[in-house]
Amino acid sequence: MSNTSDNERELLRLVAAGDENAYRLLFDRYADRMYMNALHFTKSEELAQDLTQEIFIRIWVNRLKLATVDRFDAWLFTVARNVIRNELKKKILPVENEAFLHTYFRDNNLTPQERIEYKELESSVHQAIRNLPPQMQTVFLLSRQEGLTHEEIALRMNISVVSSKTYMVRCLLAIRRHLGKDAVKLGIVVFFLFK
Amino acid sequence: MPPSEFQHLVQKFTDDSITAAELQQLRQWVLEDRDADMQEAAIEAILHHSHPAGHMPADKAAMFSYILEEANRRTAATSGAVVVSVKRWWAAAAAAVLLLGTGLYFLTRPKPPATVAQHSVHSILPGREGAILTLADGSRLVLDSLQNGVISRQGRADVRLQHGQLLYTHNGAAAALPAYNTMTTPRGRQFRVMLPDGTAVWLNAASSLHYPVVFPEGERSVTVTGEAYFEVAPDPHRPFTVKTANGAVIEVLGTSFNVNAYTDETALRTTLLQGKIRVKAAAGNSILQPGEQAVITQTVTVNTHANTAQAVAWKNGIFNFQHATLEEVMRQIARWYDVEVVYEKNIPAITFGGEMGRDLELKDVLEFLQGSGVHFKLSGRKLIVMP
Repeated sequence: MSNTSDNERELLRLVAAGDENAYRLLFDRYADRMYMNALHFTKSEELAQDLTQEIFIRIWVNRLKLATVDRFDAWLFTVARNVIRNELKKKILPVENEAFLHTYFRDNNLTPQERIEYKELESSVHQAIRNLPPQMQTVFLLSRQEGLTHEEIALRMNISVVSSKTYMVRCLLAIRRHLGKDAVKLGIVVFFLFK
Repeated sequence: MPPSEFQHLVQKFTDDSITAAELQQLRQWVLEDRDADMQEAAIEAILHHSHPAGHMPADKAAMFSYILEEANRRTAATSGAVVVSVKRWWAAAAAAVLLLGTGLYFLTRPKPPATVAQHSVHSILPGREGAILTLADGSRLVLDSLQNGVISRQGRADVRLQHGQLLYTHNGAAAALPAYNTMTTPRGRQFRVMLPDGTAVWLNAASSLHYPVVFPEGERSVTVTGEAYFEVAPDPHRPFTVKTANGAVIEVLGTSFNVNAYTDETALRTTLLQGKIRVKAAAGNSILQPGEQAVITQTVTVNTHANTAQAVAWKNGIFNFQHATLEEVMRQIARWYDVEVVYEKNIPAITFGGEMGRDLELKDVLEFLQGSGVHFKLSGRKLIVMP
């Protein structure tokens, strides 16, 4: 354990001196954890990637300060908290994103009744699903056809639970947009998906 | 709202258990910017305690190079030119050579035709063979201006120059107090020496080697700064050790290896080609096998698949820029062409490949590097790097 932190202090000193290889090692060590944290805050793969990227950009810009830093994770989280709060304020919590969040959290607590209703909607939304990117299609079908939980989908597709949910929510939003043009089914779909 | 309550809301938001009412509460706090410090502290606390499993689907290598690029762009936008300061411990030695060299040059040069003179203003020639030898009494000899033959007698050892290599031959036992010589190369010079035990050492530019003219019984010990390549003559009764300025010690058990101990490089690197060496740093040591490279700071990290050809390319008259960053390449160029490298803006995040002869003129090397999208301006011996 002390070996690891010694090694990390050395890495930090190398990074402070401008060693890009050393920074790459740190990046490789922490990028996944940072990304997964960002994903839980943003509920979006793209935003989580942007955040991860932004955090590591800021750290490199201010790399001289790393010479006196003992623990990289502590430093990483200090930089991250600013970036994350800013993102919550600017992109995640504003009213423009309300529909996304609403659907996202609501999808957590589907009742068995709702699940059945979703199944019934299958044929109506089939066309809409075909227009989705392949990975989203897979998530949707695993969830709604095979009845897998997000945990099971995550395992099966080797993605995170948050990603699975995010895909699902975006599927639903895309389906709504798609069906929005379809006047015949609009009422019932909106009722089942977004009541 | 007390901090713990806010943190509780954020926690529920991240683990997807937040209710509609709580979400509304959280939204208000964040959007209205109430108690920003407390909010950040809460977020940080959650980051410390959550270890979500999973991995980033993005291409990490691509993201990483974008990170460096964008960071350098931002640095460039906020600051002006960055002057890379190189520690010039060898300044005195280099000045001595320049003075002597310039004197000789002006005394001996034939009057050149005007066109050639004009050309020479713009060409910076590559480094060549040359070094300064500091004898035990402190006197100095410039080796590139000397003829073949015995150039000094140090106690019982003869010092001879032969085809650009310094040779030590001794007769009789070592003196009680060994006399030490120091070979120093300024920028733009490299040299070879054959030590009294038959060990051959190639000394790269801006480097020095400190050694006794006769090795005593029981040990062979030399000190190196900068970069040197060793082909150590086997002698089981007298282990060979190389010391460096940062305190690292390399113990040799009959072998060929390269030591890169330039103080302007990020770490000391030792690359083993044949045999076996032990590398000792302030905290920890490691035994290297052929093909391995030790990266030495306070500790030793071993890279088991080192590019040995790259590590000793300089000895074979080649620049090997494989996977080298712009900064690494420019440090090598600064040392070999004796130029000062200045970055006009940021340091572009470029990685190079390929090999070049070290006998090329600077402009030819720069032309090659420009192929990778970096541009140069030469002002005297100041090389300005432009993105």
